[in-house]
Amino acid sequence: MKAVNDVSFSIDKSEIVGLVGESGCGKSTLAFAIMRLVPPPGKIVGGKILLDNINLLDLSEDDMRKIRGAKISMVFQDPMTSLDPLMRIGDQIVEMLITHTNMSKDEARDYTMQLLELVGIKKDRFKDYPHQLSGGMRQRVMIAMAIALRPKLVIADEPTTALDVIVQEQIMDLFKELREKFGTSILLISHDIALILEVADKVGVMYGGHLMEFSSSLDIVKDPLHPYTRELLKAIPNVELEDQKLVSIPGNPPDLLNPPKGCMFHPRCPLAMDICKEKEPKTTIVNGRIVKCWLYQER
Amino acid sequence: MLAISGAVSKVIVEVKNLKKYFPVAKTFLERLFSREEKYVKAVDGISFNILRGEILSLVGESGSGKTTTGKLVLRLIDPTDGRIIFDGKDITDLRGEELRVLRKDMQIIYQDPYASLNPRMTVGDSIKDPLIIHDLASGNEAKELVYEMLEKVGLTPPEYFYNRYPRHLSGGQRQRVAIARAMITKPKLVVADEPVSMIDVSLRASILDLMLDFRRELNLSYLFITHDLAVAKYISDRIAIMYLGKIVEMGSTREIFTNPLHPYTKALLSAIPVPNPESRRERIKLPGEIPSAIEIPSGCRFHPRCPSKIDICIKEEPELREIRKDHYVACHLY
Repeated sequence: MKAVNDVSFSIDKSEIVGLVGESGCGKSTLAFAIMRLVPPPGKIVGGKILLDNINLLDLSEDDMRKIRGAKISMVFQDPMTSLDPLMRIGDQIVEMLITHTNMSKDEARDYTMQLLELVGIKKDRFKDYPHQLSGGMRQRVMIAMAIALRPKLVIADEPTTALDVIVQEQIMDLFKELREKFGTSILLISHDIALILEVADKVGVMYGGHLMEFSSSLDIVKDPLHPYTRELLKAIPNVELEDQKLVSIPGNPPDLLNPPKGCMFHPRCPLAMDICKEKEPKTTIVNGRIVKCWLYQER
Repeated sequence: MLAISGAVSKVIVEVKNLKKYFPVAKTFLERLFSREEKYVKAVDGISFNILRGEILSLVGESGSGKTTTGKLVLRLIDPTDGRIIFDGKDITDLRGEELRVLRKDMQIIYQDPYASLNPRMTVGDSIKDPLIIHDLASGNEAKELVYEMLEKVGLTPPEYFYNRYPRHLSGGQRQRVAIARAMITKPKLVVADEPVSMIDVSLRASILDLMLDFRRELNLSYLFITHDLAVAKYISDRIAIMYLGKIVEMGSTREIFTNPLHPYTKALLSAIPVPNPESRRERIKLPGEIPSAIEIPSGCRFHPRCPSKIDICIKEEPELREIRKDHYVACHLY
């Protein structure tokens, strides 16, 4: 099964790049692939992952372990499954710092206090266990751990999906603050297109393991190139619009065990041509924007 | 609604001062030293009604009591206090057989179509079951009705889907089965608890439109429970905003969106992501998160997070009052 196939894009310093797509489109697999953490029997069969011009796929497992956390870190949807329920949150951060740096215990403790404050948690919560914190606070702890070593890139996979909108907004503000303060780049993955379009500078739209379109969020909203992006925008509610009529995309997302021939989206595409059913389109650049669709290339 | 004669009330369900308190388990020491019982006040005195053919959305964050309210209205759990009047009849104390008969007229659609269908029953049997239970049809007649229903919910050809199992279907198709099953008894009220939050965004509108089709056909009412105001805006006639077991604001969808009054509603509206990077809306940011329903703040339960709090808010709980026609707010500012 090809969960992620032929996906290319880049993230600049202090940029927020969003990846959107529906369940099974490969956005989480892509995140794990960047970390080289694809769970077996899955594997990366080709391509490059360049971080500051170093191809992560060439690194040994030992070197890669040093990259994780230090250069690239990750925040997941459910902080309760990522935190140790039997360990005080402060101690969890201290332990991580001691493992990854040569800080002494006291230094690590001081730095942990700073980190907690930075993400908006009062110092006196240092001794709390994860269950004593609300969902939003637990996610703040995860973010504190993710930025502790000042990574270049933080990958956040559905970081606010389990949270309410008001808390979601607080967490998004925190991400924006961090990228401004430290120049951290953020890869924000979500099924919530409205959220991504609002927060991210650039957006990649994934479908059936392929990157269908990649450009600035403004371009995506004003002039979506790929028919899937266009249809998707018609399917999501926008509370700023009056009397909006929502239109679903007919059909169902592709079964990756038995994918359609040609373009992944052709069975649901209103503009599908004969060639779309036969041959997979190439990824091309149109006016500086990445798109994978036969409408924009020579047949 | 002119067709409804004077004898039949326009109101399908009325809820008066409904409460649901769940006792909290005490530790050994608490048992020894304290007689005081602690409660989670999941629903803490709410009143509303739903008209025939109307869609009322209950909107709130997790822990606001919206799901508990839905279960109370359907009599799936017993209220601690308050009354529920359904179709002109007080159903608060109904038991056994009377309750079973009532179930034909009130149905539920759950959030998770992977959990709400029996995996060992074919789609056909799942949809047919309510017909058999309520003795509405059997044999070939029942099968015909199920075929008809499968067509209506867009699972065609029906003879193909009739013998499928839930595992053969996608999430969207399963939710269509759940809707078919709820609609087969021609209910008067359907409680829909986050029916599209697990459905892929490209398919959500079709599920919502399907629910609207049934409203038109059966003139049924929905109590639509959601955390997503954008979805509520699309489907509802009226919206009630809940916070910590209370309704803080209630009004027509238009009123709620164009003229929100309660500071919590305003904050909730301003936090909805808008698919537009150029959106320049006024942002009202709230500190903290919804507190536990065990330790409810004094006075107005929203006061610790409220940007417009005044002295009285700490002491006195505001009542839900009609400020404009059909627009109710529980806030001392008004």
